[in-house]
Amino acid sequence: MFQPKFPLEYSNIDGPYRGIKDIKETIKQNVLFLLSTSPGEWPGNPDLGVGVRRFLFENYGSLELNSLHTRIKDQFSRYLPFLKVTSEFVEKDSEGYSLVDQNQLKIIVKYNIKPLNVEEYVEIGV
Amino acid sequence: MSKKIVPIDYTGNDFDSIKKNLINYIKKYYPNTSKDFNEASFGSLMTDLVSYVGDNLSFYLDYNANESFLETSLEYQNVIMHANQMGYKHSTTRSSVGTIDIYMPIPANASLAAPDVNYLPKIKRGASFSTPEGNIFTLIDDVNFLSQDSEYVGDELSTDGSTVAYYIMKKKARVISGENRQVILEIGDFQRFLKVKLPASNISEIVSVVDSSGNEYYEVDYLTQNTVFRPIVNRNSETQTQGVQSIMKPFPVPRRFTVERSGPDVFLVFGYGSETEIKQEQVADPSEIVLDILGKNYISNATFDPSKLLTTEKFGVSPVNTDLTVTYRANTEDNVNAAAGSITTVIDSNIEFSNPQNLAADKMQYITRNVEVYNELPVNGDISVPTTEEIKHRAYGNFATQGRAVTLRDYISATYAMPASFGSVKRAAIYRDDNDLTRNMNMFIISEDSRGKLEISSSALKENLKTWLNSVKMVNDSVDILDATVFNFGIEFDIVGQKNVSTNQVFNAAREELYRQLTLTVPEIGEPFQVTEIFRILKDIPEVLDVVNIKILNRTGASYSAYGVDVDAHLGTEGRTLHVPQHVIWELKYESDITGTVR
Repeated sequence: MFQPKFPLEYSNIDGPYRGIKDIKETIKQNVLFLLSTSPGEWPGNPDLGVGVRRFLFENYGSLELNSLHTRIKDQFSRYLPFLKVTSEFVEKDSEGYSLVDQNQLKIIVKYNIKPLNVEEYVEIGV
Repeated sequence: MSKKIVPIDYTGNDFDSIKKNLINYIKKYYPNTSKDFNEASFGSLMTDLVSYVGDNLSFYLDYNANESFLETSLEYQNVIMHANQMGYKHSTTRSSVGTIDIYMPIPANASLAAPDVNYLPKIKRGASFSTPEGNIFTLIDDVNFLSQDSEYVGDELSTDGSTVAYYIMKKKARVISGENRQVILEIGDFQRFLKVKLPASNISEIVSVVDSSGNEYYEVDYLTQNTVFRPIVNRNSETQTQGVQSIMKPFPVPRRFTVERSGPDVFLVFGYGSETEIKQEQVADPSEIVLDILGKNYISNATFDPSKLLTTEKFGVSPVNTDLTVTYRANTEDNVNAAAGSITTVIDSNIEFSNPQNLAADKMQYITRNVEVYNELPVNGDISVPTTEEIKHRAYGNFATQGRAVTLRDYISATYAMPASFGSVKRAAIYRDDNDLTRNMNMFIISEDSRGKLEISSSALKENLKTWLNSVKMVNDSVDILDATVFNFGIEFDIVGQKNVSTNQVFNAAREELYRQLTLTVPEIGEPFQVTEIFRILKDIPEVLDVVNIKILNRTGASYSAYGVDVDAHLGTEGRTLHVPQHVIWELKYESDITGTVR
């Protein structure tokens, strides 16, 4: 087991915490943690975290919002250096409607696990 | 099956070391439970949280440990508490102390040639003066214009200008910042260790506490102290004029209190003895407090009963159902210092004439209305609040002596610390008497007269000093208080003056400068006289080209000390230092003691 799966849940096999046994899954959880954590939130490590929620009220297309991509790159190179990462905003939902019109912001983060040469992605709503 | 012993590293006490130890622990004992130690992983979140808690606990543990000792504590209140434990009394209200000149007109006597001594009054302690800004200063000691050091500084002519009507007299007096105020506290039913808060701020000293029956309560350092020293007016006119205004007497005080300060608040704390116990013995009978008296004919418990001890009045009588009139001194300004020449207003002269019934009322009124004050020097004090470091050093110093004279230096300090109203010692020295079988100590003291010349201390002063030293003296120390011997000397110089300056001018310049510099400070008793100092002073005078010779001469006779030394025998190698015996103090008494020739 690499680490407990979050959110925590009971497992008949692992006991109190269901564990993650796949390396790709554990990396995915770490990526989500890194994206969701706001700077200053993590105990003992105030620099850790992209903090995507901080960008919720930035104007679409603004420089401030676009700096999110730089932030993601910086954080990944520092805390998950074995990943090659790219990110882009999702403009339309699954039915083709503009997310901007729905006052939503979504970002898709694609990453390559360099030691395994595996491509993965996560989609996260801000 | 033996229990598994898991080694825990207790040395880690900060976030990083606790986290490192935790990860090592997990890797070692739970290798299959958690493998992902990436900083953004959930496992890392758990270790970081535990490390955070551990770091916090360590911080508070360190904080508590540090704050438990004076050496390492940082919090101001904690430092004060530790210092208090060591006997240091902390006060946040600062005072400044200085000297002022009091002037008053005294009517001329019948012959008009001098002031009428019958009108020379006493200005009693508590008289208040102020600066134009309203900074109030209070007189510390009674000022008796009858004493020898009153100066005549001028006169006032009669209205027609033909005769002297009043002589202007001047006398120096010590003042302290702040004014005396009063507050009345209502005290209700009996309370053990009654603690009363004074409804006032900026209190620098409690002057007096009197209950409605007229009983006075005395401030002591600790409630276990049952004796204070009180000044009794010195009726001996001979020693009174020598500066000893009061005789010091130990005085048992069954009614007493301590002063506690907490930030700006001031509290009076009383013991819990009762009035009835005052009528009994002042000191508890040891046979009543040592052991419980039981019916059985053997003793199983040899501990004494502390409550039995406490039932005596040893902690002092507590006021009950009365009004306490508390007089205290409070600063009127935050900055309690006064610049030179700024104390000019008399608020309350607190003047007292010896026999007012025999004096003319209009003259007494005139004197009272025309009292003036002036401070030639600034009145300075320590107005800054001491830092924690300063408090620590003061506490260490206080603890080392514990208010007792332990070292020879302590005796000197205690001597100088005696209140001036009991007479002041100008210089003191103490030596162990090696010839004495009891190894007692000889203390040599000398005083100063009103002109600033050394004089033998009065017997009243020595008596006061004996009483004073007895309060700090170790029980097996014996101290003889002896008069220091004054060695008056003269100087005969042989100098070469500058070409363009008259010999008279060179001589006067040399004499004045020598006298000025050699009388700047009074030497210590037993301090050798540096003859080379004369050479240095003379060579620094612009009118003097060279110093050919210096001779030290004995000065004995009517206005000098009878003591003389063989100067040549006491001169050190190469004649640079004149060594005097350890009980002797040298004094260059008059400017005329310096003679010489100018080439």
